[in-house]
Amino acid sequence: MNAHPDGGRSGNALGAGDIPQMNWDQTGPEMKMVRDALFRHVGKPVRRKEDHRLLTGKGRFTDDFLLEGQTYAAIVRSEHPHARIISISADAALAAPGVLEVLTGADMVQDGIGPLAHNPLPSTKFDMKLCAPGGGIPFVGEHHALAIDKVRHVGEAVAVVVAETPGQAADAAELVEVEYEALPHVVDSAQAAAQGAPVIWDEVPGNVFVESSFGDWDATERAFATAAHTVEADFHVSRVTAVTIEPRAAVAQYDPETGRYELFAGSGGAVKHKGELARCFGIDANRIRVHSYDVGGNFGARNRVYPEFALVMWAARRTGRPVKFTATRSEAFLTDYQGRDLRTKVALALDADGKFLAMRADNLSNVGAFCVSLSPLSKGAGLITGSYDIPVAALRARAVFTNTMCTQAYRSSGRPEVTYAIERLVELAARKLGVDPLELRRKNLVHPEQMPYRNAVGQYYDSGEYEQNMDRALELFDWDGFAARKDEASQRGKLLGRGFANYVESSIGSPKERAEIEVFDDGRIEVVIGTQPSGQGHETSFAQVVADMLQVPVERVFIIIGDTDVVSVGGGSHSGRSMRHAGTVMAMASAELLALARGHAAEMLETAADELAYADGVFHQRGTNRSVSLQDLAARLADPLRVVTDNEMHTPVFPNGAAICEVEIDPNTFHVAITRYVSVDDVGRCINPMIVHGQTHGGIAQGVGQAMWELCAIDHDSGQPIAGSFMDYGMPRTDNMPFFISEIAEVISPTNPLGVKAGGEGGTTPALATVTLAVLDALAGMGVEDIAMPLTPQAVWQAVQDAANTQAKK
Amino acid sequence: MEMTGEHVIPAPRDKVWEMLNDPAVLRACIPGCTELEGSPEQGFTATVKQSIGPVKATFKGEVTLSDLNPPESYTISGSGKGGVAGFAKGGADIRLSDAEQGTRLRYDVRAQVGGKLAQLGSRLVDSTAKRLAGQFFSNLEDHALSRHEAGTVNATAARPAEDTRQAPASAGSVAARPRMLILLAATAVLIVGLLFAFNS
Repeated sequence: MNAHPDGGRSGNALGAGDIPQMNWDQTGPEMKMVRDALFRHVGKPVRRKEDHRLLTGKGRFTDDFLLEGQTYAAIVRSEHPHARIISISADAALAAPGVLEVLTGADMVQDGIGPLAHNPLPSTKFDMKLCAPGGGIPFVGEHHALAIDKVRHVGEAVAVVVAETPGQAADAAELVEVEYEALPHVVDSAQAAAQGAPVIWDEVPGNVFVESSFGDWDATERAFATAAHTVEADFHVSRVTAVTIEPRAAVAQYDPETGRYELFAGSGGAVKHKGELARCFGIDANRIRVHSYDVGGNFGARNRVYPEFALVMWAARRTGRPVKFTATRSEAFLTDYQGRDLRTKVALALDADGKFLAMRADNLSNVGAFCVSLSPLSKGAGLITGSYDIPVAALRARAVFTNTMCTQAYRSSGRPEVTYAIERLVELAARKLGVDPLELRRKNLVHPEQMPYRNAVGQYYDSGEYEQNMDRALELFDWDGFAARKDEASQRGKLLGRGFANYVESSIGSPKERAEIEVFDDGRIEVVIGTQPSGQGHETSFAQVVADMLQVPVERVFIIIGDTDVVSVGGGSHSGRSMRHAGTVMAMASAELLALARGHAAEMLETAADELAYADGVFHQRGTNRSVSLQDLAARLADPLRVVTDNEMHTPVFPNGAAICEVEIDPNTFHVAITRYVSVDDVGRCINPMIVHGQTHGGIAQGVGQAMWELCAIDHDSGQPIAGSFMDYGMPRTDNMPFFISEIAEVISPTNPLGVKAGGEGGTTPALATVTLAVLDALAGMGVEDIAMPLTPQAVWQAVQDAANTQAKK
Repeated sequence: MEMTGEHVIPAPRDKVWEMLNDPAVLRACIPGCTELEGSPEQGFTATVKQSIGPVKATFKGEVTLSDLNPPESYTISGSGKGGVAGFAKGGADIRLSDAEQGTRLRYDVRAQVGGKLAQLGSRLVDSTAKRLAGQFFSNLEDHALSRHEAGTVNATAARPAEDTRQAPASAGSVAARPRMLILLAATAVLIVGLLFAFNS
């Protein structure tokens, strides 16, 4: 990488005055009580309240909703990566049995429906700010629910057919004739950013629509110029897709009398979807009601509005009938928002003793045909230096349009990418210097006494004991026993390898959250919250928190989510924000509720509020036997015993940890088996260890999946996605995963009242690096130095052949 | 994607050329072919019904022809559409040469596929293409042999149960309108060729 494109301007994400609040300062007497009251349920493996419902078929997934008179939508999709639409003929489709409506982009324009309102720029106070090349707000491309003049990726929706049955809709969709004029296409980010590439948006002639610089470029250049050692590398963190077990679906109806739309669509946050759909339709948000209850997997793919959500709403209005769309698995592979696809060039400067001096990075994110989210680029930008104390760094972050499906934040958005880069770079440096990679890491880790630690691109790590995580992971893995295991494996003719990675990640997310807590006269306590679980167990862990704060049994607390007529504000679930944001606002709301209840109790008992003691859901007047419970209060008050509390919290937290993978490779078949996996994760306060472990296990599987099998393969010549089914898209399964050894490290975060960081994504973040490094370690004796994901037998075989050929030439 | 192959047909070169120009023969030999029709003025289409793994579709192909050099070589180019199954476009060079036991037919196909065929078929098309190619040439061989024995064209011999309709152009018009028939042949060969080529 060369000098800074703007000639050495240095800029940071944060101004000098923007130091995040590191000490939660809201400490009224009620809040103190709430904090002191914790830990009757919190920290215990309370069994999931939702499981009985889910396991007995009582879940409410989108496709379970059957509206009266419901019709079905099928989508006509582009088979070209880039083409002008010449004409669309719907006559034959309209004449087909059962067809009610065929709608195109032209109809959509005529009906005044605008583009999807994605708002892709991360915008909280501590997000890394991204701008257009030369400054200003980036052009993000209008993402219409149906293509209007041209298609920009294979699978883009071109027309929607509505019919009485799903089969009739699908059959009729085949009859819609679309005439295209194919245009030159580009699917690879580096090619799209190069001179002379086909132009995807006329407004952005070079396809690069974001270019921002971070860090201190001059100091970095000076450090590199005088460093004893430098290493550099070039990585592509491949494109994958979420493969949610429940395909995306939506069903909508329209009431012409009230002018109100009602949409059932599982997502990562109904409130956000309601607001964005209102902008898309150009109507007031209260004319849309969104339901999102049980969701069969999200991982980021469901956080953004899908074109079909707008299409079923619009078609319901046009036809006067409810309209449902349920994606096939093929459609999911083709058009679920995808993840990763980052190219990164990284370089590290070290002094003669192996102390890190400076880092350079040049990151290029492939956003696809429309910019749905810049979260992956932004999140990764803040963490390029990883867990290490690197005094200065310089980063160029760019995003580029290509003729591919849009990418979006996916399971630990942006962090596995940069963790992969820094951990592989550190390993290369150790090899170059001839030192133990673990000792090199140790020498450069950020230490607890440096916390809060400001990294070289301006992010403040809140807390963590990185070296302890490392030591604990090594111990759990039996690092020292590796030599014996390797010998044993080699006697069986197998190659054993191990890969270690430290990680630190950030959890920022939408800053606003609201909690409503109401006590009912039957003792039931309802908590309305705007996060959206998709398997994380919020109904249990949130109830644990509120139960402890209000000192009531967890069985009496119920979490209400998913109906925007009930839940008015909420940031949804993404970026590991839910427990922290919901926990904080629930703590505040609990404190407010207790303060309110105390006032009422004092009135009722005709005493002063400070004469009351509170324990186990009951106010007692000190020195007497007079008391009143929350339930009694709720029964006797004229007004509901209810509080609504809002909170806005920008301060990020930085979950961290260490992970180690061991692999065994068969040198005859080049099959890679994962034989051991250890993860130590500092999640801050852990509310429910059983749920956190489960989330970590899933997270590991997703990271290992990308390293080993998963790939959204795209043929560069034709621009066609070629992994459109489970035949070609490999998945982690029970038979190709070992039992994981995971351990939770609780270093309490000072940034929020519960001390929560985040859990789950920590399983994914280091896994790309640990698996790749383990395979490289196993193949080290064969001269293999680099290998790209996924690590399929063919890829391993090819790497071994290439290494043999290179050695033969020498 | 590219694919090259060759096959020896047990017949002299001019006979093979003739067979390739006979719509009835081609319709009978192309696996799943239900129609071959058109005119030199309006262009030519052929329809082939095939399933490749999970993708079942009716392919309609349209071709043009160039570099005609009978009875040695020609180049075909065009496209095939399979509805939601996707599309194929590209071309093929066909070359005939004398071989010991007959005529060597060599084909070089360059094609691109899109849509479901690319997304779903990539693992299955290889075997499907090989199967189709095998069927096509084995049918052609049967025709060559039956011709050799009977001294006449028997277009329905290979697949009597499936193909009982008359060809749009009779054997008599083959000689009269060679260009049209070459186009028909090309259409058929291209469709088969494109199906062959789905694998890469």
